[in-house]
Amino acid sequence: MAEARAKREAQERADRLRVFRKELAELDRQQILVLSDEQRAKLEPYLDETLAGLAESYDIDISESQKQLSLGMRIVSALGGLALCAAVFLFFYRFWGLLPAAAQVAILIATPLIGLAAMEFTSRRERTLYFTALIGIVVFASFVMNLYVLGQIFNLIRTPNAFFAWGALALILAYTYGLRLPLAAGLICLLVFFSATVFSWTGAWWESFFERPELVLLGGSLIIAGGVAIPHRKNAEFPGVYRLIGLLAVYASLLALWHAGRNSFLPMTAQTIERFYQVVAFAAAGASVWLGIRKNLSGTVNLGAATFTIFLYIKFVDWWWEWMPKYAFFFIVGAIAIGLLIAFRRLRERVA
Amino acid sequence: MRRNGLLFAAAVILIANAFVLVGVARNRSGHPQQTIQLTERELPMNYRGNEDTGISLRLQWGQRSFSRGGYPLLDQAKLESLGFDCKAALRDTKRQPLDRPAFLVLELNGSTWQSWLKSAEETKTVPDSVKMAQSKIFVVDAAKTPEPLLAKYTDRKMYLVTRGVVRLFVNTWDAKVQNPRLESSISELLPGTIHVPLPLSNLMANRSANTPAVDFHYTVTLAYGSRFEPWVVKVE
Repeated sequence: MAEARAKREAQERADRLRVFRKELAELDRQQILVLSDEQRAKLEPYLDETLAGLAESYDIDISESQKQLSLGMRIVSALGGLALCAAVFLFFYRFWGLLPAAAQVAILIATPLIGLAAMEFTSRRERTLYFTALIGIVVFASFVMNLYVLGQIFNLIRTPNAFFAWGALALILAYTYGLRLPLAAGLICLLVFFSATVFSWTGAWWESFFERPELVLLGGSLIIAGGVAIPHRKNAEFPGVYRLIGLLAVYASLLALWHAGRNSFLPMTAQTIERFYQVVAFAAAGASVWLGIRKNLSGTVNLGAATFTIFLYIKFVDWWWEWMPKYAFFFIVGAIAIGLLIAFRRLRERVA
Repeated sequence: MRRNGLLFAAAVILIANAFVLVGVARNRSGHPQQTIQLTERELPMNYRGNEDTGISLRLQWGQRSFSRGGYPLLDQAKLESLGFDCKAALRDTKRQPLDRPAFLVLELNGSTWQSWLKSAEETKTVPDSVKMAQSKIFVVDAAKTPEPLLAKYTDRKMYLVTRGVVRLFVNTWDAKVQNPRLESSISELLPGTIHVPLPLSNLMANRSANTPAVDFHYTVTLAYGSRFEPWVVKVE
């Protein structure tokens, strides 16, 4: 964890040095700041040695092309993890009918445990944690398969409790190794567990929990609050994942209530509820943009702006699609998009 | 720190599995609460892909398609006893009542099946092939808890108490109906699929490729434990 923080700081420093070198070259080209040969002879080896030292100590990216490759490696790691998950599932289903129940259970329990050992093994041998992240996805998927298939083998009645176990494992993996994908998976599992469990307290069948989207709305809000309340000094990217999952849950449930007010807990007519949540949806998206700008959270601003625009377009469809000629509808939508662009540009200038 | 995380992760995996396996052991300990023999009509084999070697059966129950209003035995009083607010559902027909879990009584080869068969023969709308494959189990009663059902339906060869999910609709679209009408249905039985373990599954897995599915007859004895979770004890 301390290593993750040190690595992040090293990467930030390397980025600063790279920008400094570029800017210095530009100032030199424009004859604004020209270093003497003696100064240059001191500076250049210093920059090279510092960058090389950082790269050696923390395995960070010291050039733009390295950064792009790293992004590619992260994508390959995630895709590879998903492909391996599919392989594990299909491999098990190919042979499980040939195994007695005891062997099935042993394999199901052993697979995620072996995966954990493999994660620890690889994490000790690489600083970038690409392979560790890939195996982490497989461990999580193996555990999902573990409980799901146990349920099938022993004909168990489905409960939301499995989501709690899956969420707990995913969060432990995320915080132990500083991995974002397991964190997102864990938060989604806990959101389902929370919403479905509270929903079942009403006496209804838990799998219909999205029939009352307000519980997802509450769960999403709790996740956003968790991202703010839990200190993340060592995993600086984690609050962003909390905000992303929380906001997506909030927006999805608001959109559902917007169109189906009859699914609300509120004791009002469906039409009143729908209007209420339409106002709340726009207010929530606007508040995300405003808070994102104030707190300098680019992801929140982008998500809020995109959602605000989508909400606006949905509203236009509700209002005009039926009676307006289609060309006029799309013309107005295009014109409003231009208006929004101008508004966002002005906002950007003001923020700058 | 990392070592602790690893231990916690392993503990979550082991505790979750222990929780499941203890539940299974508790369900199956002692004498089975109920045992019933069903055939391929009630437990047809689930479709399995080329790369799936597991065998599972689907618990299929008869739909009372000849009677209006879904399940007449699940009347308003019964539905209210299951927790449905029928008055609110009729008052605000746009607000769909939520599915509710319940304990259900399945009747095997009883009067409900006979009346279904009689109706089918009278109306002549059901092909013979459908009649031959029709499940002989029908839902005849429901309750929030199993005890009253187990006390009322004591013939264990004919009745099976199991879990399921009850759905309630308010019919407002039927032009023949002046007022909104309650209609109930069973959305699923829990569990809906039953895994056949080795060595019992060998009999089914070895089914000759020359035997068409319609000519493949078998009898499965199911046992239900204290948690109303079944397991296969015999395949013939």
